[in-house]
Amino acid sequence: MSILVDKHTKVIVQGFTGKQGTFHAEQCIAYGTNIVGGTTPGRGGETHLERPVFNTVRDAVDDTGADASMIYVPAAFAADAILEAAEAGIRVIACITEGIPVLDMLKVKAALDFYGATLIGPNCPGIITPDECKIGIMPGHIHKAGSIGIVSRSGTLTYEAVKQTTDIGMGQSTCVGIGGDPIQGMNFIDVIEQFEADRQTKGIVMVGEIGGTAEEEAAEYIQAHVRKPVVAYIAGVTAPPGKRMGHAGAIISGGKGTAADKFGALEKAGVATVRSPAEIGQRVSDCFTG
Amino acid sequence: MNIFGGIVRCDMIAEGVIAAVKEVGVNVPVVVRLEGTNVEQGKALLKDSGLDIIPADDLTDGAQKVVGAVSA
Repeated sequence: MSILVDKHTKVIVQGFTGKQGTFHAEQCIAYGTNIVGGTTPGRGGETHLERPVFNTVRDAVDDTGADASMIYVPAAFAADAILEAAEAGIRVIACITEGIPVLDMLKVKAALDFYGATLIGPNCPGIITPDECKIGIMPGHIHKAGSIGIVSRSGTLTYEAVKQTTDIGMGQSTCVGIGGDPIQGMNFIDVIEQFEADRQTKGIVMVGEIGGTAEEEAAEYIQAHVRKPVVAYIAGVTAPPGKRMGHAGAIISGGKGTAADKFGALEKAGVATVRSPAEIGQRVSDCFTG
Repeated sequence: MNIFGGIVRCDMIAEGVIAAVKEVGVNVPVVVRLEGTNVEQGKALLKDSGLDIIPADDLTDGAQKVVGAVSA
């Protein structure tokens, strides 16, 4: 078991024939992901990477039975791409695109509930169930099938957590990059709820960052509902207030959303925290050796 | 510098670091930690460049090496 995606997941690529779409589709195919085709409006009927190109997601779903999508469409068109996928019945949508206008995402967020689709991102590395299905831009070779569920707002720090849990031998059940935007699809609680219910997942790593209140809300949820060990790191300890740190959502505003607040909330909830991202693996290991 | 390449390819980063060091000239120690996509090509490029760039294997190693290089 794993969460959301596995070896049976059929994936299409929106923005299939573009430079990014092509490079990362090739990487996913090489990893073993079942990429069944993709969309580029106006190029339906062509073949790309030995797979069919469709004009619309609806055509792609009708022809291939795809149930997941990864989106490499430019920011101005990405919200439409997400809605098109949801409307066509795609179950899991991973949107890699950075820079989607907040107002666009507000509309998308409201519509997703109606369609019952799960959105990962935007502005995220995607999702991977090691050895089964990689949907996104993460380097596949650092992963190892195993028992730790990883959820993170950061791309690079997800890879740190992955490599360290691989190095200690525990590996990952599924890794979900929820992205760095202020309005996003799945949040920490949505992912942690699924990890708690998943039998393969024995422990959870959560990587948060400054800005917003998602980590504080997750801390409350963990305290009330999660029995599996959780290890957490928060990026941005040295971030000055009012300065946006790389991600659109990573900003301490009105004195709220500091790393100290988030560490405090997590520790109060009984979560094991680490103050350096280099210590994640060791702390996870400690949780299982007493 | 720390890069864990996903969307970013380590060989491209290495080429950029080499070009930057050659172009601007750097008088302080440069520690580079590469990991992720195309990491082997990236590390090889840095090694073969002949430039005085200190490679590091992980975050802690990188931090220790840069502190070590500065205090030496």
